[in-house]
Amino acid sequence: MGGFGTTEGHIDNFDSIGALTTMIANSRIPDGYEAGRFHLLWLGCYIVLTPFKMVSFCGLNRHGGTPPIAPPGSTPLNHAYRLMIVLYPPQSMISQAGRLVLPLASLPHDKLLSLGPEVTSHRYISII
Amino acid sequence: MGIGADANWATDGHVLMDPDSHVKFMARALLQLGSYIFSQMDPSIKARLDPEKFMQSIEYTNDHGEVISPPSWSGAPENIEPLKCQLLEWITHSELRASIVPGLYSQDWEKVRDQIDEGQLGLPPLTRPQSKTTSECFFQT
Repeated sequence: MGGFGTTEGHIDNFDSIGALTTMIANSRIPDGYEAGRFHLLWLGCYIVLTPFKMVSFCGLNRHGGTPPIAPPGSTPLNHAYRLMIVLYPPQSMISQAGRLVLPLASLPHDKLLSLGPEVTSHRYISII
Repeated sequence: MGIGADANWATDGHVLMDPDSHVKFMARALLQLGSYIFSQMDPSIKARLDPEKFMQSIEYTNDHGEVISPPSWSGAPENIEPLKCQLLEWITHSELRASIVPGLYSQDWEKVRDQIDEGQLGLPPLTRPQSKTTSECFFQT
């Protein structure tokens, strides 16, 4: 995960360009609270994160969230948690490219035989 | 002397995969590793692994008690031709997606296509660079 919770938003740099991120909102925020919003900064829009709202978007565009907020003057209740489930499309899993390093097996002297993209990709191309 | 403490696919893969998938996965990884190593040898002797024979040489006992070999692999390192078409399709798809990502406007997709057409994929002989470089992802210490 990259940085999040900033007003500038963030970009998920390890995502594949060929697939979308899907995010599921499953917070149980008490009535009267601001539910929290998810902002797609490039499109200039936001989604109010009420339960079971699903958002599919390209994580390579700038995006970010703002938190649930208790009503003015009240102390947030202990059970007022945000729960978001994010399904990322990592480049290393989806495409030939990637940064995936595969720990294949043990070697003597407590070493690890790891296969990098030089071995597991067909002379990989960096972007896809 | 035991094996190392780090989690790895050979020792721990069975947690995620059934025996068929696990052996297939390991066999493919070994084929990739073998092909990668042979590509470092003198190209004139054309040392290579035959993907078909390689898979046939591996045996294991499946859930039904049968001794079998993993299936052949159309995506093997030397079978680049079928993969080229898939890659070109994927690039067309990616290019379409990239058209809505400002940070990727400058990506030269034609160059990527050319790389594939010119056979810069597959297993060209690997040569030693003038200055020695180290790889961080191979034989980790």
